[in-house]
Amino acid sequence: MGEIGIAIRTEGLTKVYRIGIRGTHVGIGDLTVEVPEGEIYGLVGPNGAGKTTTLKLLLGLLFPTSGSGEVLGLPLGSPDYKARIGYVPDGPYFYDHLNAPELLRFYGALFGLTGKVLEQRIAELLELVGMADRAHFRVHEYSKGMRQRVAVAQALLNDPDLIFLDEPTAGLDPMGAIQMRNIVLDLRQRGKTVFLCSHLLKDMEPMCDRVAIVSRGALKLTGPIDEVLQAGAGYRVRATGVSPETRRKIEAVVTGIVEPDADGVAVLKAADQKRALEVANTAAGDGAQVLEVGPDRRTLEEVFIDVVEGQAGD
Amino acid sequence: MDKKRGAGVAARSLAIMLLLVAIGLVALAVLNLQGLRLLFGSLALLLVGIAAAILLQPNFRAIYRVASATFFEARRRRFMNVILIFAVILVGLSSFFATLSPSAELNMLLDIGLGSIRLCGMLIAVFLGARLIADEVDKKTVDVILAKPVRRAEFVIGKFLGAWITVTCFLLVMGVAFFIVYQIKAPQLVAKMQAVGMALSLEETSANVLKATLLILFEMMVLTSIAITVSTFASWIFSAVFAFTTYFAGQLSSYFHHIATFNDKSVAIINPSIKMFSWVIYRLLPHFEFFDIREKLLTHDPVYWEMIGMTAGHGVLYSLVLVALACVFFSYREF
Repeated sequence: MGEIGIAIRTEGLTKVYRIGIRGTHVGIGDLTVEVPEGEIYGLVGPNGAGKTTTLKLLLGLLFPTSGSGEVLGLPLGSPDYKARIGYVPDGPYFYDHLNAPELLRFYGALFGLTGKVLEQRIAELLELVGMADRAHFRVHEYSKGMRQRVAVAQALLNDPDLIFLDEPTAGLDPMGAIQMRNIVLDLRQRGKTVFLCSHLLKDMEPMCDRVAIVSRGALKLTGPIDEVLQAGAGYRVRATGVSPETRRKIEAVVTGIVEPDADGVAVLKAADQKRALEVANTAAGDGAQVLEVGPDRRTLEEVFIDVVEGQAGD
Repeated sequence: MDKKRGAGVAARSLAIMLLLVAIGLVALAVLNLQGLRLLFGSLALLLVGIAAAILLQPNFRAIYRVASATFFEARRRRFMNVILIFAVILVGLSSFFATLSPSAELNMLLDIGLGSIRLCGMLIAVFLGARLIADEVDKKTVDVILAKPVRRAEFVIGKFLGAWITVTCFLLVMGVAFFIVYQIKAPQLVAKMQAVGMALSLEETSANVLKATLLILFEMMVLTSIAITVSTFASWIFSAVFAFTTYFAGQLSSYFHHIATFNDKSVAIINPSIKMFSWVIYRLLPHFEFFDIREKLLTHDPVYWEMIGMTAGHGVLYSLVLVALACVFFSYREF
């Protein structure tokens, strides 16, 4: 089995903006991350957390104040890796007077694509992003969602190994958002690396293999999504027929109880495996049917709130 | 890998050789050997360009694409068309100034016609040059382009070429409009002048009109490069104001030279710091007044091709230096 490469690596990457004569603002500070090839990596954080700054540093649009980084094994800003990446900006802007094929022809030519290869690629991509029937519209006639679709098309022109997406589902209708998710998942299926920036956590959670949470210009948490969601979540016992008597008995052991759902399944949460087994035994002894005992999993939103609120108290 | 490295070394050697030859040619141009200063200067410039292309290996396709996109985008700008229509009207009006004598009427035709082209060319060059890169940055279209395998210098060169091609096309339209008016009106006026015994060659005047238009083209090249260069680090308004100021100051280059070299203490004593300032201004600013040969046309003085070549060469060299500076400034810019 071949070794998995690293698509993006940063080492203490820092960007400090100057504000006025003496003021400074840390856009992102001391960012050290590794993005393995073939994964979907989500960078999440509230507005102004440093997501776009990080993205722009990786694209060479901003220069780091300190630290270093590599994209596809090449130093930040090198035009050589830019031939192998795609970029979907947040709220994409294009030349207003062009229509979608003209725009894609322009960007395709910047990658050195020409002739039939380019035309075929444009037709495929317009079909993929659902713009084939509206290809003749000029950019200034596009809705935000249509611009976003064209932005995705232009980012895929060169069949990139690594694609950067900044708020990819912003402005898309529900169908567009689903399409976008399918495109991203398909990219991973084809062995591509995807670097996603977003604050739409519900969109990110089902897609990402790995996440990093940034807030106020600092990296707060990073790791594989399963580890991040399970960390500190404790254990849970799913059971039916949990009586009030049982509840009273386990009151001191559980950390929380999720009331029974439509199927009558209640979730009893415990801090660790030992306590979870104790809860399960007590419930089973009282006649409840224990369906599952296992590690609990929080949502990305819950983890995010914990991280950001924890920092608010700092 | 070794093969690639070998090719790189060979390319660098060739470029260095070309640069050495170019230095030799510059020396010959300075010495004005056989009176071929213009030829030596042009060849030196060409060799420097080829050497730079070998060393930097620019992506010509990217430059071409940026330039063509700039051209097609620029010609859609409303203010450009307004200026163009204004210029064509002015040029047309230049034939309606009936004066006392045919000679004065011809001078009026030349003065107003060429002056209109120059004025409108200046407005187009300044506003277009100042806004092109600034608009790309403001509208964030530059982000997507620079995330592609396009070097910042290639982007700037593409923008400059696109702007200059646009300005050239607009000047061409104004020039054609003027030439039509001139071809209708001038033969009548020259015939009237010849009837009263005034000797004037229509062919020579026509050739001079062409030379004057050509110089306006190179003058606008310099102006465009000034506006673009400043816009790589400042707002478009500042760039436009700076370009206008430089343009008008450049019309006074002889005056600055006069102040800098003035030594007649019996007439006046000039503060040395003012003399130094004038010298610096004279050396730094492009000599825009040399591009305006209307005076020679009005006084029917000969206009030599060598002078046209030297002035155009001055313009090209000045623009190249400015565009190189623009590339450097832009390479440090953040988005």
